[in-house]
Amino acid sequence: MASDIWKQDFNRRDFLRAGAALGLGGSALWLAAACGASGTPTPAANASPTPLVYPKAEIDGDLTLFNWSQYMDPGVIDKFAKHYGVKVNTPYFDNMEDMLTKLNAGVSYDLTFPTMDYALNLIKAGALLPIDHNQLANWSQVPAYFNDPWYDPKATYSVPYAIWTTGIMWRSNKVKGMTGSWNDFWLQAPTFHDKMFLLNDYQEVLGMSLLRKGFDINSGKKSDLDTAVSEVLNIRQGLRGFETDDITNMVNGTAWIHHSWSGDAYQVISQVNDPENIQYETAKEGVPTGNDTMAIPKSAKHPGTALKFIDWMLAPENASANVDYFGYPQVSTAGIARYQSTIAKQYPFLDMSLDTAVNGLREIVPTGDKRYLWIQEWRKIIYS
Amino acid sequence: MSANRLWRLLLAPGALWLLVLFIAPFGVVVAVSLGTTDFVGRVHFGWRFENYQSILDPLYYPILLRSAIYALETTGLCLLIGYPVAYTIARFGGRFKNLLVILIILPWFADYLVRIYAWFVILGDEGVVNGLLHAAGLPGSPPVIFLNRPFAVVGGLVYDYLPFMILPIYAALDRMNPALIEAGKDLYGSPAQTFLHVTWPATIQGVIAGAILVGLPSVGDFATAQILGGTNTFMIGNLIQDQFSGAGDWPSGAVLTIGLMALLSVMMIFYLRSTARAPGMTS
Repeated sequence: MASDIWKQDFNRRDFLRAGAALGLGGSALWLAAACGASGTPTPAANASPTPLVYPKAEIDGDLTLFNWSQYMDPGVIDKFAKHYGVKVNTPYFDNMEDMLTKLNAGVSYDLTFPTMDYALNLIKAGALLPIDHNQLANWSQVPAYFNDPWYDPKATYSVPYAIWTTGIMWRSNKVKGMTGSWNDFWLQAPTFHDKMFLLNDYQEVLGMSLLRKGFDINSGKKSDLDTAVSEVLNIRQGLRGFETDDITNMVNGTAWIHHSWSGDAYQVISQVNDPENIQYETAKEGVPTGNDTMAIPKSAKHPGTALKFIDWMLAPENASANVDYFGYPQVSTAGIARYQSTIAKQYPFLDMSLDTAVNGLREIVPTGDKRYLWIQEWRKIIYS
Repeated sequence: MSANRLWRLLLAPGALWLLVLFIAPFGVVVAVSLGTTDFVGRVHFGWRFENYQSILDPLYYPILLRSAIYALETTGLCLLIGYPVAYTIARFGGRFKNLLVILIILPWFADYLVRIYAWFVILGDEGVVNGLLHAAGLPGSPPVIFLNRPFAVVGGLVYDYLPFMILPIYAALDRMNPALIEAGKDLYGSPAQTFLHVTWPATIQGVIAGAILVGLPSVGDFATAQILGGTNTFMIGNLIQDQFSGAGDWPSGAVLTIGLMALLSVMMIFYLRSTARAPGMTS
């Protein structure tokens, strides 16, 4: 098997040779595709000490926001569009790999929302534009830690967006006897497999199963992963599905118990007729957590508008409105204060602080051979 | 000779179309299939023919088998539903024939996703049908789980591809001389015998065309299984899509794409040869 598929590097010349050999070297479309696929700088380009060229925070066209669905208040976006007289397009991705695939396919997005570990990799790959904090009037809203977070020294390429935890959401009028453990999936599967979903995200599913068996959430040991996978396979057969849209599944009643993200539980609560029946728990074996970021891809056509939008989101009134809608603590002084004074107060099971993201248990996307191993293990789960 | 040149000139737009929209993208797929992806999923091109070994990964077998079964079931159901519909329109449609054909195509003017999501409202756990079943006193909540099950996927495929079965069969029936059926009756054939010995053979090419038009796309369909399916309904199309947007493994996705295209091409060639040999189908 091609186990080193993730680590070998080929350059642009290899590609052109490939094109020529196929007798299509002269095709303009072919070359255009080549630029789309390999026109981004190689990792080596990042190492060179050329001075950073910061985009200016000024409106330079319409904005394309590339985000998870239901992960930002459309009202805040509409206000931005009206205030600056621009159009805002909001295409969605299903998960981080989906985002990378579309970025790599050469589609231009002005602003995207990688999780911290993906931001780290995109920075290493030289795929992001630097962000000048002096051009952001509301940068002072960013908490001290995130002026120099672990994934982005000096916050050169990213602005923090939201903090999440991963846990289990359920309907307490249907499902009883939850114990605050990842084992609840196994406990409830015999009765409720028809109404149970796991997230369609290999890091979350493997991480959850690893934690339950007492392994490292980012384990690279094949034996650990084999155990984690065989445990998931035990409940997989009757499972209703793998899905990242936990909100829709819970709201329309398809799911009664769902592997889910904290803020999504809040969105379900705010959408159903019986909010008192929606519960969310984190597991005693370990709570996966982290934060997303706002980042401007090198392929952005309107980085100026993107910067303006970042600043807009950091503005206290917008951060507060956004928190009210999407249910996650947005990483800004106002956003976190809003979350703690409203959502966390009303629903103690959703309580979390900045410390959650700073000192929590992080899922780090595997790279190299380890990535190949994780993907192979995940394939055993979804292809069987 | 100048007429010949004119014809060649007229071929140019079509050839350009093929080159730009099929051959060039296909070349990109081939190039990707021989490359690798790096830690942020960027493709690096190379000559890794060993990538093609992955097509034999035993993990894929159940998915290939499932896709074939779903496609066969879809084709069979479309034939069972489509033939009587086509027959009724062709034989008894009278002056409403064209209107009836248009009515069959009409829903396909609405976006596929919109129509599929409508199924959620109708067949969801708390949807219309389950509401009626519950009101009728059926136990369970919900009384019947329709979605995320294999039959939901096959149902969705039948729903989506049915017109492709009806239209060619309708065309074959419409072309057939109704006097042949009268002749069958005159020769004391029962309705069943007449159908079996006269109508069916006269329309078999329409049936084969319908089967190809339904079967081939349903083998490669992914949206239906993705939206209506569950954990046990992964098809080849989902497998390919997952290589790109789930695993970030472009080369494997490209290898599988080429494999699927090869398989479908073989089936297509088989079909074209069978029609070329068929009598009376040269026009």
